[in-house]
Amino acid sequence: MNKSFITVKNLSKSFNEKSIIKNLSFSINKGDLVKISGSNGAGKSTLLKIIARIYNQDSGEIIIDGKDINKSSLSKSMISYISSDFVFYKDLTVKKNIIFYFNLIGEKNSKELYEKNKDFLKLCEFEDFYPEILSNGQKKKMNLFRTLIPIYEVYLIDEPENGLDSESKNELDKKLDSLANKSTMIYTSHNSNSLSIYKQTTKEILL
Amino acid sequence: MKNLSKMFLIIKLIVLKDLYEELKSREIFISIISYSILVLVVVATTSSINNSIDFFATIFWISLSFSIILGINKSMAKEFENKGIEFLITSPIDKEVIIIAKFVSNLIFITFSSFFILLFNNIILNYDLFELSFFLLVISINIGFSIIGTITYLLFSKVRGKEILSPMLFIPLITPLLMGGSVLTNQIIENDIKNISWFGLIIAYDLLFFLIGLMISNIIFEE
Repeated sequence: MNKSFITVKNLSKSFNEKSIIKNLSFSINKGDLVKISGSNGAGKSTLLKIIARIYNQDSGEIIIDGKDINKSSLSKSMISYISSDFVFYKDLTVKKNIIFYFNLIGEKNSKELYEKNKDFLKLCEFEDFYPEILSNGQKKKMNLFRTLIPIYEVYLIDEPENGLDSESKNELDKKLDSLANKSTMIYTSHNSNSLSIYKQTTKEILL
Repeated sequence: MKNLSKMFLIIKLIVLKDLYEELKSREIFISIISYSILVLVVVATTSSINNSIDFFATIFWISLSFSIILGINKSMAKEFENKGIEFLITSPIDKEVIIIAKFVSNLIFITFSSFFILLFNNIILNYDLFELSFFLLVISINIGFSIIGTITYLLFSKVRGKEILSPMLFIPLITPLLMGGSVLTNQIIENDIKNISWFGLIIAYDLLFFLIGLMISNIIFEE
C-alpha cells in the first residue's frame, strides 16, 4: 500500500466569520497530479495558499512527507506556489526580482540558473524592465519563471495558463510535463482542455 | 551554527533588497525628513520657545516619533504592495527571520533619517548636540521604534483603516521610550547624567518587544 505523501486532516478556514473551507480531509501520493475543482469562491486558491503557508488555517493539520508544515520549515523548502496573482517588487527589474527569489530559496548559483534558463517563456526579452510597465501576460510569465525553474518536490499551481498566448501555453505545457515526472502537482483550472498535461490527472478533489 | 549563518545570510539579503528599493525610490527617507522638518518649522515659527534648550528634547522626540510612523508604514506597505510579501512567505525561511530582517531594515531607515532630523533640529533651535552618548540614546530608542512600528503595522495589515489604527497603537506603546528619551536628552544637554536607570528601561523595553515580535510572527505574517 502507498503511504500518502501529503495528508490534509480536518482543515478549516474562514474569512470575516464566513467559512470558506470546512473540515476538509484528503491524502495525495507522491507523484500524483491532482486537480482541485469547485465553483468560484469555493476555496480552491485558499486551499493552495494554506498549503503554501501564505494563509494560516483556523484548524486542522497539513502533513507533507511526515512533517507538519506549520512546525517545520523543512517541508516548506519542498513547496513551490505558482500564484494566479502578479507577485513582484516594483522597484526591482524582472531579472533582479527573480534572482532575489532564487537567492532567498537558497539556490547556490542563482545568476547561473537564471542565465541558463532565461529563454523559457522568452523572459530575456523583458528582463531589464520594471514589472509595473509589463503587460499582464508578461507579469504572468515572470511569476511562472520564478516558481517553475527551481526544482521542488511539490508544485501548487493556481490557474497557470490564464493570460498566456498559445505559444507560451505550449512551452508551459512542456515544462509542467517534464516536472510532473519528478514531482507532485496540485492545480486549479476552470478549463480542463487548456493544457494537455491536465489529461494525466490522477485524482480530483471537489470543494 | 550552520543555521545561524543561514539566518544572517537571509537577513542580509532582505535588508539589501530593502535598501536597494529605497535607493531607487527614496520614498521612505523623503517622507520621514519632510514631515519632521514641517513639524520643526511649525513649532519654531509659531512659538517663542525656539531659543530655549529646555524644549530641544521634546521637539526632537516629537518630530522624530511622528515622522517615523510615516516611514515605517511606508516601508511595510511596500512589502505588501503587489504581494511582494509572498516572496518571503513562500520561501523556506522561518517567519521569525523575516520579522527580524524587517526590524533591521526599518532601524536603518529611521536611524539614517534621525541624524538628518537632528541636524535640522540643531540648525533651527540653534543648539549643537552631536555627542556620542546622544547618538547611542537615539539608536537604542530607534531599535524600540523600529520593532514596535513593524509589529503594529503587521497586526493591522489586513484590517481596513490600518493607516489610522497602526499609529493609534504605536503612540501609546512608544510613550515609555519617549519619556526615557526626553529625560536622558535633557541630562545629556546639562552634561549631568544622573538617572541611568532610564537607559536600562529602554533596553529592557526593546528586548521585551523583540521577544513579543518573535513569538507572534507566525500569527501576524499573512498575505
